[in-house]
Amino acid sequence: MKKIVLIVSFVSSGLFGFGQILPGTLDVTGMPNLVQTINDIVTEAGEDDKNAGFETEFNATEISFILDPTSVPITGVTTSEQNCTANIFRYKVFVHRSGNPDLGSTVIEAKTFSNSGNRFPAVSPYDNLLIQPLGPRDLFPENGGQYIEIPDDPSQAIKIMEFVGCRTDIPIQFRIKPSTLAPAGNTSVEIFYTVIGSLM
Amino acid sequence: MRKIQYIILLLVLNIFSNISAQETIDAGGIDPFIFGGDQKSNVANIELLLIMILDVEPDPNNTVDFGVYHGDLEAGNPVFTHPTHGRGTVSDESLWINFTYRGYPGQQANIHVRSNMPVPGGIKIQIHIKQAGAGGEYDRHPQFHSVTLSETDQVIVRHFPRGYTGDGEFHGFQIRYHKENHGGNSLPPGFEVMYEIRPAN
Repeated sequence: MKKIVLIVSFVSSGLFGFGQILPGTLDVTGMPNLVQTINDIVTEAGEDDKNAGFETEFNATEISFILDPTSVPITGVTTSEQNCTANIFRYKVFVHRSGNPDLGSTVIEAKTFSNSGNRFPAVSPYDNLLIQPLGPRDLFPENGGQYIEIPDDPSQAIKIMEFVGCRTDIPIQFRIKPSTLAPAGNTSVEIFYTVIGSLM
Repeated sequence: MRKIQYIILLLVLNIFSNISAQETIDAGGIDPFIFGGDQKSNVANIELLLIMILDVEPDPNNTVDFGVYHGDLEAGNPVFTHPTHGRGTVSDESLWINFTYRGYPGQQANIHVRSNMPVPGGIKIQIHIKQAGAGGEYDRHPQFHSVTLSETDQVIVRHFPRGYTGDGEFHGFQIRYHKENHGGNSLPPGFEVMYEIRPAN
């Protein structure tokens, strides 16, 4: 049995790249619109509007991360799909936002869902390995898929998910708990998504 | 054997500490490209509504009773006798105004008061804010005005910014009613004191 495990591990390490991390590109689509309606405001006089809160649709923003195509001297170009098939890494996604003094103690949160988004490519020989060194090509939300507050300090960017292998169309939902001290009207914040790859 | 137990305990504690910790990075201080990653951003638009809600606590049961008990009546004396304000007067300080107010930038609010029907002749009801209570986040020292209640709309609290008082008695502005009623008249059935919060400008 030990021999089989060793052989499988040896073969898999020959087929898939785990030794050198390759560059990839993060794509972010969709702009979250946090528009308060009459049903979203606090209903008890004296309470902070922050006690109510409201959220966007589940896929207000979608992010994708795939490996870049590479040029190979003899065979030509290796596509993103080929690279994502042959190179499996683990990725952590961190978020933070810009500050906005108008918002006071307003809280903005984000979450995704267990195994949300799509594997890229949809099928890979890695999925059939008896031993998958980084585990299945799945997505694991932080905090059990519950909302996580987005800090307005880049030095405290917080992890909201991690996934194995390239992945596309990962939905992100947002919730805001607006301080009563934040003025009525329109404002905005910039939300940053930072992807960090790792071999383990 | 004990060493092994200690090691296991430390490992368990370490696991729990990792579970409870939220993993963070300095996203401004690293280059994600070095780690085979990337960084992008998008803009979240936020649109918040004007909020002006107010109530008088305790709610329900915010009726002020200026009634007279039979045992307090004495032939030859006025119907009401206030211990400090003298004959024919009575006061009440049991009610509190709670509010939640969000205005546009620079927009302050006022609290108005009026009665829903004329105050009967011979009765004078003065209202003012005695003090601001605990809790919430709001201006505890805006302009307070003492008003004599009538059907005409009057400002009792002027020019306060966005804020919330906290909910319930002892939060917000404590109302003091002072009633002069030398003739012992009654207020008509359905008589109400109306409070309203509105933008000041």
